[in-house]
Amino acid sequence: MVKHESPLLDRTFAALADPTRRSILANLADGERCVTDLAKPHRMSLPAISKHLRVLEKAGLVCRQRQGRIHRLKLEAKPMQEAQQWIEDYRRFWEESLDRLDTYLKELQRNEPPAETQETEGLRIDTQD
Amino acid sequence: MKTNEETTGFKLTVTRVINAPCAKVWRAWTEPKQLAQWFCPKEVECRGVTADVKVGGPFRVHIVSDKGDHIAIGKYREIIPNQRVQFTWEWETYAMPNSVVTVSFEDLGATTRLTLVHEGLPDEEDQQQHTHGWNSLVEKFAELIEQNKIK
Repeated sequence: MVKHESPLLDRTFAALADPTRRSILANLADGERCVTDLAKPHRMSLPAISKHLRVLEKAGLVCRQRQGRIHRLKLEAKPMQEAQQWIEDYRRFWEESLDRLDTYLKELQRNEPPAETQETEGLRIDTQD
Repeated sequence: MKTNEETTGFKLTVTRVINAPCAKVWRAWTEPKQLAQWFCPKEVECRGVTADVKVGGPFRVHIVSDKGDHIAIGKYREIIPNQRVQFTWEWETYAMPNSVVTVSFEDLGATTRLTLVHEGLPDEEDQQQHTHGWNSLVEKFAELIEQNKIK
């Protein structure tokens, strides 16, 4: 089980808790981008976008490559993997819940007479005198 | 060795004795019309400087290099006439949340010792690039002011 005390997880979830940052990550999933290209879809100033990028960088979710004064951002998978592993532990919980519900419903069906047969009996017309 | 970015970051210092009196040097660094005449490194073009030189006032420096436009932004934090000016410093496309520049002026009579300290730089590469940039800028400043070209 992934441990709960994790500054890395803190930073990852904090980074993901913002719609602009999630949108930036979705954009980077398609490939590397420079800062001005990342800013274009948002009606936001460059410094504002730049601050979002800082949060993502500190969380290790993106890395910055410098080619002289041009900076290109790239998505980094590892912190997302850790977050996914944490949530994965809960996926088993809700899957097992659904399995238990499924089993319970099947039990219910087995213990009751089939509704179909009852109806037919009700409708059967006794023609014998 | 892990550096805690929040408390230290990387630091650089540039120092030079300028052959001009302290009050004159001070004016060149703190009067927006004078700043606009020189405030950028040698290898680039200074396209515009806007500055509201008061505590909390913002500034914006538009630099053009062969690689494109670069806009530096920040706010003044401390202004002590003829002694010290301090401001935050980052780039429009590259946030540096803890980056602070402190420029001190020491009155040596006919000359002035200028000391520029830039701290809170995020990484070593930033430190190297900014060392180069500030060195070039201070050199350019010294030449211009000594030749009386900043008014």
